[in-house]
Amino acid sequence: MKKIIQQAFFQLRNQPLLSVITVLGTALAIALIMVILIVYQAKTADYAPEVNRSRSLYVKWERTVYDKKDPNSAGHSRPSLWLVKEIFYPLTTPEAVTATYEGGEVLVGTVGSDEEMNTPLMLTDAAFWKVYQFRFLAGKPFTEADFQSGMKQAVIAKSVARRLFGGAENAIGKDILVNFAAYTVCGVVDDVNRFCEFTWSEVYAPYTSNAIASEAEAGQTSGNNVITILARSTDDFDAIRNEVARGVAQINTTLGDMELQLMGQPDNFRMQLNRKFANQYENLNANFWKYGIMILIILLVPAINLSGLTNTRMRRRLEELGIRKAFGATRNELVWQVLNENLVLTVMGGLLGLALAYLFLWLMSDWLLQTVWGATATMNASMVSPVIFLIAFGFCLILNMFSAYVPAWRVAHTPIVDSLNEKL
Amino acid sequence: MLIHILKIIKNNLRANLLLVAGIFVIATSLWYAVDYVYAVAVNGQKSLGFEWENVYYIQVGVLPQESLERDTTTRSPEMMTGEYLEFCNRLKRHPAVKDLCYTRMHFHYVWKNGFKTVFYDTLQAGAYTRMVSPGYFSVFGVKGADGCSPEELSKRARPEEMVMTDNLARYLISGKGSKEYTPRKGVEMVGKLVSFNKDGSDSVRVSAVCENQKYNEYTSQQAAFYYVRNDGFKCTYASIPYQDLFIRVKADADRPGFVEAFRKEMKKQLRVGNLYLADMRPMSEFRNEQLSDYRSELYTYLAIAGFFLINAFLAVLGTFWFRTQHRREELAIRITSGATPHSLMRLLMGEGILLVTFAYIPALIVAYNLGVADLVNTWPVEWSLGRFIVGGILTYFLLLVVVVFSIWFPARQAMKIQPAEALHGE
Repeated sequence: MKKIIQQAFFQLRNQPLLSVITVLGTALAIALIMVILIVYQAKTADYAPEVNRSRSLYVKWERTVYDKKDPNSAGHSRPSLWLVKEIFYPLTTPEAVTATYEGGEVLVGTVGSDEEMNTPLMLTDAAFWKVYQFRFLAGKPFTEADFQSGMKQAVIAKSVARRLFGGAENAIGKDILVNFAAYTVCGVVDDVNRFCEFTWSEVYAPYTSNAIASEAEAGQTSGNNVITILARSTDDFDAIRNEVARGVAQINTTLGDMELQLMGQPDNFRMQLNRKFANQYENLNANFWKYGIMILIILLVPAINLSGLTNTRMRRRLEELGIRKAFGATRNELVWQVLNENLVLTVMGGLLGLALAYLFLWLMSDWLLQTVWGATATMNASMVSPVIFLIAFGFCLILNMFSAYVPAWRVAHTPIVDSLNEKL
Repeated sequence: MLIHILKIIKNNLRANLLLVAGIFVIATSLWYAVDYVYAVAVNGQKSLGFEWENVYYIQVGVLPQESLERDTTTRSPEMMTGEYLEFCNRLKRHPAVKDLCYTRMHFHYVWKNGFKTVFYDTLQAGAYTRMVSPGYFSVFGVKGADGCSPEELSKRARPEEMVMTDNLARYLISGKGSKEYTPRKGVEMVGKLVSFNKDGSDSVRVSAVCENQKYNEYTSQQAAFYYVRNDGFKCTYASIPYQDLFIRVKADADRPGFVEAFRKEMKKQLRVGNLYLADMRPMSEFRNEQLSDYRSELYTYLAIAGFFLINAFLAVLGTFWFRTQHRREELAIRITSGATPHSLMRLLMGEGILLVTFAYIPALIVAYNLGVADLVNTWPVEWSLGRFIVGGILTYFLLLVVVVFSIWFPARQAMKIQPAEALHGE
């Protein structure tokens, strides 16, 4: 091992330009792939407050056909609270079910002060705090009893607490005015990353405290809710989907000419990412294909080009390899040697590429860390993990295989006489 | 010289074919990206049709039922509309505010649309329907099709009538699309009656024609008409959230910190009945949000173009480096028989340029067919021969630069060959 590294460094000094270009070429390919994968990881990994993404199911949209005879006469929307109460709350298989209602931007101020700010408001139920695990800096979430009685309790984010009260501890028990309605602060949570589409907000309150959000008129399918179903384990997903389907069938018996459709939902976390718009329910897998092909091209094109460079480097060493062979090295040993030496360069390129990837993410965060609706997320801990390093190393291996195997094979199969004569 | 280079290429046919194949793939992908960037750039030259600078969105809030401050006495729609108009008047009286308007189903840089078909004579056309108060044109700086100022257009826009974009008017008067020639002008529609029904009922008079409107910087100019109304649109507390209020601020007043100062100053004044100032944001914020998707796409194409260029560099460099070493003896003999270092450089460059040209010809054929088959991004700018030629030349030029740059390194090495040393083995 030590010998291989020494050998690689010797080469690096001996042929600086070629080696540097190999390393840079590898670095660029790895950087591009890693940027894609790191962002994907940040969007899909389990981290606070969305710690249960991997065992959650989501319903973001509903489709209502107005007249069964004309299946195209349909409206798409978020599900209504009535649907939540009829179909989702009664589910027995999952561990918990929560509904969130986007209250939009609200004006938040304090009593008797001129200080005010615009923040997003999320209206939800008590199960929300079970499905999602927020980091509480002070106080605690509103309880099931608070929720049932429609108490005006609010959990606010750190940034709001700091702006209005100067700190998390000071905020507990104080009143805030949300659109001029008084709420008591019962808890302060850490700010939420913008990649957490289901939990990002700055003020959280029970929807029962708001007349519009708690309307649940029978027969009304369109509303403004997003539903998260927390399964005990992923094994329960099918059972839950069946149970939901039964619920939908039951609802449809009461809807007369109309028909409710969930368009294949509940989705798991990865699938729901592809469902940005309400009327999007075809070709949901297209995105996975797109990324797969993109990564393949990003790997293949430089691999072919790098193999040209490897070829050149190998040629220079034909003599040396010929001598090795003359002294009894087998073909496999030679191929192995070339691959290993090349791997040192590739790994150097990989490390540089990973560093470049993080640099790109940091410098171009407006573009790369964009969330669904044009906001920008910040970098977070999930972006630096052993998984990422393993994946990067894996791609280095693949790239190495692609770019060095053919030249190595050719060199190893050159007759000794030819290689000593430097004929390839 | 040319035949000589061709011979050299033929002698090394297998390696050259591989290189040509590689460059072909790169050239095709590169052309696709260049074509996209070119289309975006051309589209960027067409005027937007409105001005978003110094315009602010004002969100009017209605106190919720939960608020203790809410006045719960019952109100007639007239009273609620009165509150809204009073809110607008107080805004207008602020010395920094130049103009004010409110709209429905229309909010620049927010996906909020209405779409309707209009009928005139035997012709019909679909267009965005936008409900605006007369001040709209001066707030967003929309000029008349005849070049009149936004303020003048606002005066011409009479309530219960409509203002339509030039492309829509031109189509309705002549039946000709924007690419076809017609001597008729859109402004001829002024004073005509257009209808929302085929039978000609429900008709509205066209009071003016305005300049063409893009939806945003990255889209083409689209047909739209503005249905002009006034008197607060007769709103209620339920409809106020669907009605959007915009103000144009005098340029010299629009300094950093303006929003904070304005909100602080107006907070008390704008508590009218159950209404309050809920939010105030510059249009630039909405613009940034909506354009970020388009920008991402543009950056992605630029990144792809960059990536393929760098790879073309790698491919050519690798091959030529290998080749100059392989041909050390040959090049040395050339030097001994009178070639100067510069003529060697020219020889290698000529070989590279020729190879790129060979690879580029099939790439161009593929590119042309992609364009004809509508597989390129055609929605902002139509596919045309001109676009193909410009995109083709740009791509070829980029490839040439890369090839010259990447051959320069091995060629410099070749120039330094000492014939005596290179040939001592012979």
